[in-house]
Amino acid sequence: MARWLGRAICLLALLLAVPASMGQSAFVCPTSFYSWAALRVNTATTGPASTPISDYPFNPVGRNYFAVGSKLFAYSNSSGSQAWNFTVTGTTIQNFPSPVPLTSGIEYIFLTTEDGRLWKIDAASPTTNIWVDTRRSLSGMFMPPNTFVPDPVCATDKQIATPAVQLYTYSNTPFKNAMDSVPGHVGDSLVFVVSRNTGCVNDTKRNEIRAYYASDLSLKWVFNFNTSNSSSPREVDGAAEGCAIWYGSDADPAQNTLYCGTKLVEDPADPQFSQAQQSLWALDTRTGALKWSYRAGSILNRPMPKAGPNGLRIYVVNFKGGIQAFSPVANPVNPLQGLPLWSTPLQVPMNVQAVPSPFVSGGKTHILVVDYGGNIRDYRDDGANGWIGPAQNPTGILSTAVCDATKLCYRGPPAIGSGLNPNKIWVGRSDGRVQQLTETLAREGVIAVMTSPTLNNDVAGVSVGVDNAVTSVSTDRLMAVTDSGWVSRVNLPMCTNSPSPGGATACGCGTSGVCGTGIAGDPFRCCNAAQDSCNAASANNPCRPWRCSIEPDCCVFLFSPCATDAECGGRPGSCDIVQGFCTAPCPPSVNSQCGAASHACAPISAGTFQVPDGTVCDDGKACTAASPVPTLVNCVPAIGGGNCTRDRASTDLVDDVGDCPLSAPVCSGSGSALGGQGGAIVGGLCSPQGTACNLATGKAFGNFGSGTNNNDVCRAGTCTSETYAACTCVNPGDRCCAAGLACCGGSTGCIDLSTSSLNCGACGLACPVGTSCSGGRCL
Amino acid sequence: MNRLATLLFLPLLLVVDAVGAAPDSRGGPFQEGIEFAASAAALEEAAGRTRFDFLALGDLWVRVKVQNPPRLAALTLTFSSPSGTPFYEATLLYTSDPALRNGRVNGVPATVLQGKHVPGGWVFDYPVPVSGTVFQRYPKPGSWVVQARIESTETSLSAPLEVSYGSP
Repeated sequence: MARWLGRAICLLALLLAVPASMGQSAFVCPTSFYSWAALRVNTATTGPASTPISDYPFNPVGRNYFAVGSKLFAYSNSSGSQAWNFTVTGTTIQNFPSPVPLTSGIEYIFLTTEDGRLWKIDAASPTTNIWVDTRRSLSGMFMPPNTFVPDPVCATDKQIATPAVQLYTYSNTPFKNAMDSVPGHVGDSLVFVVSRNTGCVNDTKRNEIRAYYASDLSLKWVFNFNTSNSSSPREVDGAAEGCAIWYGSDADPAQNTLYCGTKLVEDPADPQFSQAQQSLWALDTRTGALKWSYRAGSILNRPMPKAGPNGLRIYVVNFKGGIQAFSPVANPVNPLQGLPLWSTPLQVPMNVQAVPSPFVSGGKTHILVVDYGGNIRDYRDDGANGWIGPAQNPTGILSTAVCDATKLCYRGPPAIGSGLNPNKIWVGRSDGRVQQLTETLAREGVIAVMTSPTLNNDVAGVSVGVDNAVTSVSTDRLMAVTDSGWVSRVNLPMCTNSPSPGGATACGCGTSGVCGTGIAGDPFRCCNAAQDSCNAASANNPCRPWRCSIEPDCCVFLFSPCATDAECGGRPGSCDIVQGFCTAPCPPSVNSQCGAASHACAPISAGTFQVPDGTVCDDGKACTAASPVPTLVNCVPAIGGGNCTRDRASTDLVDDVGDCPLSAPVCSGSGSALGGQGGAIVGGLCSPQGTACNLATGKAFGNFGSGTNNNDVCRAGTCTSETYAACTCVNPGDRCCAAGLACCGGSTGCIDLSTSSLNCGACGLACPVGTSCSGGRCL
Repeated sequence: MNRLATLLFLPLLLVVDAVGAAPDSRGGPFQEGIEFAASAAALEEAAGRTRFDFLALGDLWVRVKVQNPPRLAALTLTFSSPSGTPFYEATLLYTSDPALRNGRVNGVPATVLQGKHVPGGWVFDYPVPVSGTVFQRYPKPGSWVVQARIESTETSLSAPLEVSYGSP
C-alpha cells in the first residue's frame, strides 16, 4: 500500500508540475556542471517554451517533453538528443504536456490546444494520435474523436490548461469499481479538462469541466452542462492552470476529488459581476458531482493538494497575491461550501506571476510564488496561519516595479529539489541563467542555459528529473528551456562546492574560472573568469563583467542562423552547419579583437557588450559597475539622507564595496540588522498582525517571532505601543499567544489547536459529532 | 542598429488602403487595418485603442479588417514582443460562407471561423487569450507589434500595441 501510494504521490507531483521557458550568454558555473548543455532546438515556431516535464518515474528510458507555440518536443534525458517533435497545426499549445502510462503500460501524452481540442498522443510515435473537440455545441452534441463540433456556441471556446489524468493503476478500489462497471472501459483512466471560454457576444461565459475516458476520449461526464436549471446556476469562469487530483486511499474522505481553480468576473460592468460566483471547485472524479465550492478570488494556480504536518490541505493563490489554505473536505456546517483554514490576503505586494507546487521542510509546508517584480517569495503554513517567509531578487534588492527588459529578475515557476540534503530551489532568470537558492532563499550558483546573445533571454521555468542511469538522488538533473528554444540539462546540485577562495580581502580568478570568497552565502562566488573581472573587495560583489561600449564586428553574426560560412563573415568553419548558426564568425583580422570568438560577444544591454577575459575594451574603462547595476532603494536616514544601493547594518560604517558612500543611510527594511530575515515590511507597513515592531521606526522585526523582546506590536499595519510579549489576541493569526497556543480571534482567544474540538488543527475547524480532537486531528 | 531601426519603423508599416473605401459599421470610410478591444462588444463601439493592461485583461479581442478576402482565408496573427521577438502566433481559418464549417491548414483539419460582412469589406474577430496564458506568465511590458497576414494574398497589416502590467 505504502509503495503504490508513494508512487501515486510521486506521479501526482509530476502531473501537478507547473509551467515554463528560455536563455543567455555565458557559463557561470564551470562546464563540468552540465549533463549536456546548450542544445539549440530548431523550433520553427513562435512563443516561449512551457515547463519541461520528465516522464522518468514511470519511463525507465526517460524523456522530457515541452511545448513551444504549436510544437511539442520530446528529448532524451540521458543524451539530450531530440526524439521527435510534433506540430498541432494552426493552433497554439498554451501549457505544458502531461505524459502518463495508461493501464496497458503504454505511455501517452495528453495536452490541450487553444482551439479547444484535447489531444492523446502516442509517446513512441506522435503521429499516432487522436483528439476531441471540447467546444460547447448549440444542440448539446458531444462529438466523437477527430470531429469538429458543427454548431459551436462560441467558435472561439478554448482550452489553455494542462489536462489532469487519474490513472487507474494508482487509484483506489472505489475508482476502479466505477471504471470497471462501465462496459468497454474496464481498467480505464480519466482525463479532465476545464475550458477557458472567451465571452462571445450574448454568451453567458459558462465554462465546463469535463472528464473523458483516456482510452478513446469518449465523454465520461460534464460539470456545469445544464445551466438552464435556474434554481442552481453555477457560473464557472475560465481556468488559468486547470485542475489537480487527490487520489486518496479507500478510507480517505477526500478520495477521488478533482480540485479546479477558476477566475472570477471582476469587471463591475459585467452582468455576472454581482452573482455569487465561486472559483474553487471540488468534484467527484468518478461522476462530476459537486462536493463543494468556494469563492476564493480569481485563482491563478492549479489548486495544490499537499499532505503536510497538518494533514492534507488545498492551497490556492489568486492573481492579487492572496494565498489560502482549504480543508480538502467540505465545511461540516455547510456541506456544499469549502472550508478555508487561513488566508494571507494582500501579503504579496505585487501581483503573482507563477506558483510551483508546495514543499514541506522544517515541519512546515512552504508555498513559493514569483511576483511581477521578479521576486521569489516564500510563504509558510504554520498550522493556523500563513506566514511571510524570506524573499529574494537576483539583484539582491527586492523589486517594486514590474520586471521589464531593462531589469534582472526571476521568471516562471521555480523547481524544488527533493531528496537532496539540504534541498535546493532553482528558478529561471531574465538573463538566460538558472539561479540556485537555498531553502531560505539565499542565492548560490547560477548557470547559463543558452549561449546566444541575440535571442530573448528569459528562462521562464525549470524542472527537475532523475537521470535514468542511476536511481540515486545525487544524479538529479535540472532541465531548463529558453523561450527561444535552447535546452540545457544540468547536474545537481550545482555550484555547491566552494570555489577556490581568493582570500577574504583579495579576489583570485584561478584557472577554474571561479572567483570570490568561497563563503557560503556569497551570491557571486561562481563568477566566471572568462566573463568577469574581480573587484578588489570580495565581500559582496567579487565579480564584475567585462564590458565594451562598441560591439565588435564579429558579434554581428554570432549565433545568427546560417547555412554557409559566407553568412557568418566568410571565415572557413564559421558556420556550424549541423547546429545551423554562426559559432565562430570572426575573420582572422577581427579575431584578434574578439579573442576566443566562439563564445565571444554577448550584449548586456543596449550599447554594452561582454568580451572574453583579457580583452582591452575600447573605452579604456573595461569594468563598470557590477552586473546588474544595483537598484536604488529608499532607506531610513539613520546615518544620512538619500538613497543607497544596498542594505547594511548600522554598525557597518566601512564602505567596502564602493557602491554606497559613507554618508549613505542604513536600509533597515531587510538586512542583518533584522537578523537577516528580510521582507518584513510589506507596502511600507509592518506585517503580519502581531509581529514585533519598533515604534520609533514603524518597522517590523523579522517574520517569525524572532523580534527583540520588549518591542511594540504591529496592529492593523502600524506599530502600536503594546508590548509584544504580552499583547492581546484580537484577530486570527495574531502572534500574541503563549507558546503552543494559536490566536483564533478576539471572541475565541488563544487556543490549543491540538486538543480543541471546535478548533481542531486550525481555527474554526470543528470536529464532527462523535469525534474529539487529539493531536490536531478529529478522531 | 539594424534591429533598432526595425523596431522603430515596424509600427509605421500599418497598411492603410483607402482606395475604394466604403463606410464601415461606425459610419466612417472602411479602412483595412487591425483594431483591438477588451471585449467582443467593445469591438463594435470604438476603434483606436492601443494601450492595454495585460494584468487586468481576460482576452484581447483583435479585429482584422480586409476588403476582399478569399472565400476561405488563412489568417496568421503574430505578436512580437518589445524586443522584436515573435512571441505568439495563431493561424486561423475564416470564411464568408456560413455553410463552411471545416477547412485545412497546411493539409491538417482545422475549424473555420465566420467572418463578418460590413459595408466596404469584411472583419475577422479573434479573442487572443491573455489571462492565464504566456502573455501573463512571461510579462513583457512595452511596445509590441501585431501583424496580420492572409495566406496567398498580399494582405499584410501591422499595428502597434502598448502593453503594461498593472500600471498605465
